[in-house]
Amino acid sequence: MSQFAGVSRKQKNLINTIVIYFFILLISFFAACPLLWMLSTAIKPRDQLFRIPPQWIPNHPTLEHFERVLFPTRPNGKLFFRYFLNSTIVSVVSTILSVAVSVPAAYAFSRFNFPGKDVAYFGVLARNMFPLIVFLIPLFILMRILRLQDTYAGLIIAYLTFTLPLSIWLLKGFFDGIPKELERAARIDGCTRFGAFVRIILPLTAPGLAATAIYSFILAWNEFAYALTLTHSTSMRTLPVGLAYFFTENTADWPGLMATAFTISVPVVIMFLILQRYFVAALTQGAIKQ
Amino acid sequence: MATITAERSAPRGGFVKKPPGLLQRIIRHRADYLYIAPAIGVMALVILYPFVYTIYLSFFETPASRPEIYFNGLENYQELFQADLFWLVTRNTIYWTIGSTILSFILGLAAALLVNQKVPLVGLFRGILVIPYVIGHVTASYAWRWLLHGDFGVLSQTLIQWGFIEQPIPFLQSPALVMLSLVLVNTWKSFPFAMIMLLAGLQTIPEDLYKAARVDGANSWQQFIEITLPQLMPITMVTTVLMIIGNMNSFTIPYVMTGGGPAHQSEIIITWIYNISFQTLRFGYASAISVVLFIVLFVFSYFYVRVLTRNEAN
Repeated sequence: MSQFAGVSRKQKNLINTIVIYFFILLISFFAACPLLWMLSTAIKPRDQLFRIPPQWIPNHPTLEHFERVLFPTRPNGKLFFRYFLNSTIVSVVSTILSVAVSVPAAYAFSRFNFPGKDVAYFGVLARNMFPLIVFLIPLFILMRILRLQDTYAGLIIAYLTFTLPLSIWLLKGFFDGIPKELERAARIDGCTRFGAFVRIILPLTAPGLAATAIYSFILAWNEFAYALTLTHSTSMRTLPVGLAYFFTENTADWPGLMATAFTISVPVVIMFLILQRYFVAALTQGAIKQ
Repeated sequence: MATITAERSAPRGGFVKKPPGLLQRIIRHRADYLYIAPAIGVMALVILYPFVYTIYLSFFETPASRPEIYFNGLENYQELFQADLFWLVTRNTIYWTIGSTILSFILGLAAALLVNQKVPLVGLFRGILVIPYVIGHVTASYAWRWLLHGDFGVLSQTLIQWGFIEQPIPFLQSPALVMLSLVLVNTWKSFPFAMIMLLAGLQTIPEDLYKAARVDGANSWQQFIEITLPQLMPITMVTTVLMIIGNMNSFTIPYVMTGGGPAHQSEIIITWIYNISFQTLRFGYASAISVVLFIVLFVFSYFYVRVLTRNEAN
């Protein structure tokens, strides 16, 4: 039977734990190493950059690259600040709009039973099947016609293409998890349908709302294709687009690139690590309910 | 709030009420539509309209030199299926999609199994393992581009240092290796998604199943094959279909890392459509390719969902 027949239970557990730890560390290193190497490159002095064999921890770490590309006094820094501002505005506004519009819709899909409900909900789900390219060309043309190209409004509206269906899907999952008896009890007590929705159900879904908002925000913050296509002036670029242009304009400046990339990632990673629980709940709620 | 309907109310002990017609049901539920109106309105504008417009545009030729567009029927589609690049791009897309999905799934399953164990600090590691998923695609692409650099990339240099190879490997410049490298990066980026989904699935498996199996003398491997895998089937199907659709829609990683090069060897369908649109400005032709892609995805999703629901019915 088991080759560990002579080993005590405690020792078997210990061996188990060590083996598990080994593999966890291995995969964690795989997951984290690009970020670590990015940081390592960003703090390396220029002459150490192409040293062979490569060093993970530089002998004389420096912040000169961060200073060069990110300080507001430097030309790059001004650009970077502008990109950051653009990303923030577009992500925040599209998240707020998306959640505001999705909440009543998700509630309706969860609780009501009106003609066309299934078709409409299928339409919401089906959006995922459409390649983003299918929207990109017409959206590009549409924004030109509406004179919204290269504006915040244009990008925000375009972002609704993916944040809306996603928010509706996630929120419906959360609403489905709340028992209908609660509304029934409220209505017996004299609440209107809308009142029950706003005063009883909404507060209960606060975690779900937060999770959905976070998820939409992260998607919008990291979005590249629409931002690239629907803006063309430097002052309207978002962070991902700015990073790409930085690279094409400074092809050999790997440390500067890595410094910028690292700085862009940090807010999202920290925000995510703190709010992990809600984030994971959002992803799985919607899926398991299906 | 009671609404007065136009229906006949049934007298007590009387005959069966006629079911309300469609129009009457719409009127009765008219307040409901207010809830979905803003969402449906926005979606009609930014989803439905572009979709219909793309189909429309696919039947036209849009020359860059002149503002008019010319109706040319199915010529765009004909050109598509006869294009040399079409088969290369299709092959690359399939390689990219299937490769990334399978690798991400396996890695995600391994990670989920590991993270599901009760070891100290497991929450921290779970957080670390999700980092690839939340880092932006552009950031990830440049980080990996630097890691896989043909001359100074740390991966090549480390392999040289350990004596496995002599010359640095041009991961992204070699036609033979470029798709593999891109799939590796995509796997890195996507496996946390599979891990999260599968972890949720693992946590819904009742412990009693395992207890009963242990009583019957099953070892860990048998428990895994007979209990874990079958119980994970539903979440597996949902996860894989989401991943396949997501991967077929990928744009940023291939575009930023190689732009489809060298010489279209890493061109997948989305980057191809993008390059045609914005380099040659042939929006009609690009729209035709988009429509074909949509049809493929739709058919795939339809059959997948049918298999999924048939499985559940069993």
